[in-house]
Amino acid sequence: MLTNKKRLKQLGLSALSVAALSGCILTSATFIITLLFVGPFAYNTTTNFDAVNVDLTTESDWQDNKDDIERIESIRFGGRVTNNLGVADVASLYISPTQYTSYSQLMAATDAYSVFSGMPVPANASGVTMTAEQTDPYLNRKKADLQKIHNLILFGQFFTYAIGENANFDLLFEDCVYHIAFTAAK
Amino acid sequence: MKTAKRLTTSMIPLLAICVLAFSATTATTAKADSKFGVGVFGGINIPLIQDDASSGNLFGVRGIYSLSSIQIQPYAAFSAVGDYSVTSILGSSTFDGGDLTVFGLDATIGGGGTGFGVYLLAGIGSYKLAYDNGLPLDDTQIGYSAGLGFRLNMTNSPLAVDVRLKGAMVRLEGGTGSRKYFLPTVGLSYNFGKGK
Repeated sequence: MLTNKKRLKQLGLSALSVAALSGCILTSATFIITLLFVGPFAYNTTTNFDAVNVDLTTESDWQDNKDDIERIESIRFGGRVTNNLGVADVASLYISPTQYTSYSQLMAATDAYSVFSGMPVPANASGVTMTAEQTDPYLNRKKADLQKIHNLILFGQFFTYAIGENANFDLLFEDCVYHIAFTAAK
Repeated sequence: MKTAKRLTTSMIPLLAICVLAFSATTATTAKADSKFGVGVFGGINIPLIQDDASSGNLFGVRGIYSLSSIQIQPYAAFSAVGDYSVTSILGSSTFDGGDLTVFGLDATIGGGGTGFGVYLLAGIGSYKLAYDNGLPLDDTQIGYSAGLGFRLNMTNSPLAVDVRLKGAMVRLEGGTGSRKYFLPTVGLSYNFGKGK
């Protein structure tokens, strides 16, 4: 049997152990930044092709940890989409460090990555809400692509583009929201 | 949480059998003053300072090798990390927090003898965080843990009740950052050869 004194000593050592562990605990954290882009942003094959400038560096969580950000955990997207044509389409989302002004430029780009693809958009749809949860099944899950996407986001600034998969598409995006999770370590 | 359920179904009975078999076979060759046992435990997994996870259930099995006031405890633990939600102008979206599977080894010191005791613990393990939908990327890393516990060894009984407060730190791939978990659990163990 341990004496009460020995038990108290053990308890003290235990408390110190937990305190030491807590010191480690406070050295890193995972944050989620939510960014809103009201728009509208227009995308079609010939005339309109908006580049949405996503700038994480103005966000307080990013600024507070800018020197300690280690990796991006996830990127998710939602928005309201309008299909101006009478034919159902499928929407995809791309990000790139470069600003492009046309569909053909984006398709020829080697530094643009698909964040999600295959999201159905009904014909003549007006302001259809796609929450981040609804677009989740369409996110790019290829590990190699994800690593490139995450490395690009680590710079803190990138451009976003949307396209349809029909030969002729005419989409309008509004109230676009990004949820980006990142880990910072000190 | 489908993965955790599958793991529960397939692995828990297998692990329990392995632990029992290990204990039974090694007990016969053990020294007279050493003790073997098995235990089960359950509790809560509380992710610390992680916006992309929330609390979830935790359960597991452990083997026990006791020598004086030191115990070596190989264990397997399974946890469904809680989902998390984000809100925006579009409404609320909920995402999978992942399933955490740990195969580890804890060492405790103290808490022996009969009656109530306090012990310290330190451990190491393989922590696998996997997601139902593959996002974010699955990750398996070595993690370290430490904490303290309170053990009630029943008089003239092979049973012991255990309350454990454990913190775990799992290093992230390719960096110095880590995911941290606070893992309070309650356990019940059976020590072979005691109380007979």
